[in-house]
Amino acid sequence: MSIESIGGVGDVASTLGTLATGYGQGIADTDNLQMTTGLGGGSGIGYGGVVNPAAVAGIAGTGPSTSVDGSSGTEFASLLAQGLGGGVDRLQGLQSTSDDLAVKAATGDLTNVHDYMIASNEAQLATQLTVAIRNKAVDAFNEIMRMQV
Amino acid sequence: MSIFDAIGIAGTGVTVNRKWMDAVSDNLANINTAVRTADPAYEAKYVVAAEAADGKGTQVAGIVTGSAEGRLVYDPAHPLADEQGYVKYPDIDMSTQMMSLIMAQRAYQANLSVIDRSKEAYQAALQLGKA
Repeated sequence: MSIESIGGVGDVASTLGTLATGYGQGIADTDNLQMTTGLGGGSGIGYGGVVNPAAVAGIAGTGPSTSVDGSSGTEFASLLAQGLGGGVDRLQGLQSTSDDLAVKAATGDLTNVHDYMIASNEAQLATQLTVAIRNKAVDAFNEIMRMQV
Repeated sequence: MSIFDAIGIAGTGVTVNRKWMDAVSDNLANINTAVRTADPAYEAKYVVAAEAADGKGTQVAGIVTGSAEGRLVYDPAHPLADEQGYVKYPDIDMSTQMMSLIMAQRAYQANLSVIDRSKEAYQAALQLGKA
């Protein structure tokens, strides 16, 4: 649980990880279990380790080459993609459900009025959650970019 | 249904109570449906609710129908009356049905309130840390 200079970045990673996990079996299904296992100790939010760039398909090698605190770094884009990984799919599903029900409502095939309202509300909440995660990651990125080297 | 469970669960409650209101509506609509004494009367419908199979919320386990015996009413002027002047009406008590209707309506509204409140709660959580 080191709170060092890079610790803040790790916290964001862990936050994204837990959010995505609850967000419909997000990253827990992938081979990158580091971000979630960091929280297993029951000690709240933890520095679960920097994400292994090898686990990030396609963008490996673009992270900073200098290792900090003995572990390798990663790129924010891939971090964000991973954090939202399961969430975006889930959001897509919720929105298509909502769209289907909207069509049913328009064509008169909707049996339950509340089904559409619930689906649209869930889609709205999922969108807000996804945007909140994205904003947090961008905030963290900007914070790093402002850092004086 | 994983992150917004409260909304989904309340949604199942809304569905069940909507079906309950449908059943009551059907019963009230048929309360004056007379038939010949030899024919079966309209059978009142009762919704059987049960816990959802996945343990999240509730579901309609089935519809139970009441007696087809009905009640005989002396109405010789009725076109369907038999030789003794009787017709058969369904055995439905209107006050009981109205009571069920109120219960179904209130439960429907209660579940909708749960949806509203949990949505507010989720949105409040998303505002955490935003001054």
